[in-house]
Amino acid sequence: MKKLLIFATGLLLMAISFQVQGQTYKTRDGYVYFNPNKDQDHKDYAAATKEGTGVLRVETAEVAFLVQMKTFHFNNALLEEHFNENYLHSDKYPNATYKGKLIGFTKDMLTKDGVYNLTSEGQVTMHGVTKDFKSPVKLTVSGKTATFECEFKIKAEDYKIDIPGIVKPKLADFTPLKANIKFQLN
Amino acid sequence: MKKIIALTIIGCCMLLRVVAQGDLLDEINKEDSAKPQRNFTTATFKATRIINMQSVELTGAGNLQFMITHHFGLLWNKDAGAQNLVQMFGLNAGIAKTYLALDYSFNRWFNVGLAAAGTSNFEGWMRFKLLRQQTGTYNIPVTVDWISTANVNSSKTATLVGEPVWNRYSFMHQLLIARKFSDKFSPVHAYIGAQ
Repeated sequence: MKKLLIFATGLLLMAISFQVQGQTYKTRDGYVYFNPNKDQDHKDYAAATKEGTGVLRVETAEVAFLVQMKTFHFNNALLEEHFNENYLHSDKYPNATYKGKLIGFTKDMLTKDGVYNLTSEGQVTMHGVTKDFKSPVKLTVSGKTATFECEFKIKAEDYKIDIPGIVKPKLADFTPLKANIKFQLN
Repeated sequence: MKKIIALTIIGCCMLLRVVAQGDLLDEINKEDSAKPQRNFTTATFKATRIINMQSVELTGAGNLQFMITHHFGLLWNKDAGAQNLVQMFGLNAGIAKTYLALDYSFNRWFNVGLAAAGTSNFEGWMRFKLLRQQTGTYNIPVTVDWISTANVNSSKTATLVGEPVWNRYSFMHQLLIARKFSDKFSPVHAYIGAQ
């Protein structure tokens, strides 16, 4: 009887520990867009992906995001080849990742419709270089979807991405990026 | 004794919790690799031609490529002697042929081309990408292209004057098999049939 009790307590504790682990949401269709043109009205070098993977841990307000470099598609096939072969070396560094915390996030936000302004802080790894990252994030909760939107800028040099001198004058020093990551809540 | 068992269970639970928390990056890598993957090998070759042969690459879908190729004289003409040096090893030998080509890809696997092949020769080709090297859902180790070329000789050389018109045509069919082993090594094997 006592053994059974211990066993039951054990199970209960296990259950509790899994409870603490908490809710994790995942998405496989995160959207990222960037336009490195100096003149933002020109979109000839712009590229986008709709295949980013995201994980959100509600309890700890941790987020992670992963994009395969080869899922970025350009209008021009040759640009896409150069992006993968000569700039980002996608065979050697296939993914860009972000891991960080959502500052100001509470799990109650997911249960109430609204727009919340948060900050995310963490590390971005791309092209084999890891850099600290901090940016404002807009969270929109509407029914069963939570959308994280983030606009930020990165500098190619920071990630050891060499841009030939002939292309450089056409590109902005800081590349603006837009990310839109939607989680289905349940 | 019971205390020990209880403590062990609690310990196990805590351990489990730590394991379950894990690293978020590991979790996201696992989540990402759980997606159906089709990793196509890109840029097996950097251009649609390797010297004067076709490579397995097509121009991008919807892209028109204009290419100018020169065929020069002999690197070393054994009758020319020291003259080879002033002719810069065939560059100034005076018999350069200029090959002007236009090729267009309708999509990822179908390409057509037209070319003025020099010395009154004109040619056209159709190229089909039959297989793409890839890993993931499908494991295909090679890229395979089929290329059919038709050439017409429109010159007024004595050997052709008076011949039936079909004797001015020649055809070549190629099956190209290539594999990108690394970013520095991609061999291609060609089966060529010509008439």
